[in-house]
Amino acid sequence: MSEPKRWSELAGGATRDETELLRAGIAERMPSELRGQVWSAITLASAGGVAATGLSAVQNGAATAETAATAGVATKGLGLSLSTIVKGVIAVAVLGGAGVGIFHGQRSPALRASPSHVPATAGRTPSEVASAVVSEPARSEGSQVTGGSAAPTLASAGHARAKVAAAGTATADSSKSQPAPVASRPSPENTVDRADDSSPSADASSRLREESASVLAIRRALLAGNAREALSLVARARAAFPRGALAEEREALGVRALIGAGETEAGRREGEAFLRRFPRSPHAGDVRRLLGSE
Amino acid sequence: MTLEHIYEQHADFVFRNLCRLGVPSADLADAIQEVFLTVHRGLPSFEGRSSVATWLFTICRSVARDRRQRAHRRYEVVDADLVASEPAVGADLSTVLEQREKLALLDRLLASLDEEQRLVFVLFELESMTGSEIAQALGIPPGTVFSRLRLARIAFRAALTRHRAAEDRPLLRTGSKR
Repeated sequence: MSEPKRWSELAGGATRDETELLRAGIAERMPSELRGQVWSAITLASAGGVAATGLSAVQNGAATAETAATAGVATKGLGLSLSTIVKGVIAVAVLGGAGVGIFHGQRSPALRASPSHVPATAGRTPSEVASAVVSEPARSEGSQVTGGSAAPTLASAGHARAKVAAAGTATADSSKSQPAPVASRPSPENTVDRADDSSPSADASSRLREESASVLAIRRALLAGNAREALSLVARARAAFPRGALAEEREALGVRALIGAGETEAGRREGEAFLRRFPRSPHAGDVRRLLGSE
Repeated sequence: MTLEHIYEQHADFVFRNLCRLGVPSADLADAIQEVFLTVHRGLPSFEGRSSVATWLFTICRSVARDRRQRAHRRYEVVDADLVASEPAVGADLSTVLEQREKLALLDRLLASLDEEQRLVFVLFELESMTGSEIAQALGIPPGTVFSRLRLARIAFRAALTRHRAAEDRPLLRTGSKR
């Protein structure tokens, strides 16, 4: 049977609007931040997920409570749960994906958009991404790998933790409390480092989560039009994470906050300092635009 | 074939299809994770009788259906502002908005299609699958694929026409051709 032409192709029989809509859909890509976050959660969960806590603790919900306490510490003072961070990532996903899509959209529409043609995001393999963005979103729920349709969750794990932390009780989210046998372990290359909370990598992971939360808080303040609050959050984040992994993003947001607060001279100085310090930063283009349009 | 390899090759495919099949933004991370954990469980018994993409799509379809139903049932406050309008760093905002606008409209139009037609339309028009691949993914005869595609196109066009009439303005803000 001969295949009809696709609407995204030239002379495919679609109107221009239809073709453009379809091309936007074809070009959409999963943004790298979301990609890394989700892969971290998958590897932790698919490896059995329960690192130091043990299955019995998961079964009675204690692990969730303990994790909740950890999450509470990680986000203390910022009022953000992991799910909020993930939502932030999704926001960037939608927007960032669109940006990436523009690049991909320049390919010939006749090219098949088969996933096998998609390069690894930013040249990083998922394991590299996972190692770079180690998190423990599914740690307590990870034992559900073989247990029916309720998979360990990333965003809702954050919801559960936030709720439990706020209430100060050990009530686990009911959808997460069903125990299940631990799955067969995946091959070693699928497994990220899942050290105890007491290990240096767990500390680093916890620090990174805190830093992510701090950057997201800045973004939220800017989004809400509170440039002054954003400035104060930038200052706090700068003091807490002077050499943080997200320093470039934080400083770029700092420039935006200064300009947004009407401190254009200071914004220009900071922006120029940023460009001297991070000339090849992915945020450099944004800072240049800010300086050009202040 | 490892889980990592499948993720690397097909994460975009899963992401796109979950979006196109109506998974709410707030659920996307969880839904993607759920798809790949299902893959992880099924990998030992995956015999390659279908392509990986076909297999993944059947999982996406099931996860998306489940997520849509759950979203209907619960009264969850989604931080819609954050999801929809966070300013992008490093991307031209007007272009990003234009792209977002297109994707949002695409999803709205797809949501108006009959489920069976939507599946065929997504796989053929957006994922460039062949008729026989789609037939295999959906477990229907190839002839049915194309009859559904024909109906889906009619419905999609009608939905777009209705949208334009309701909006009474051009579909796309800039109309720039990429």
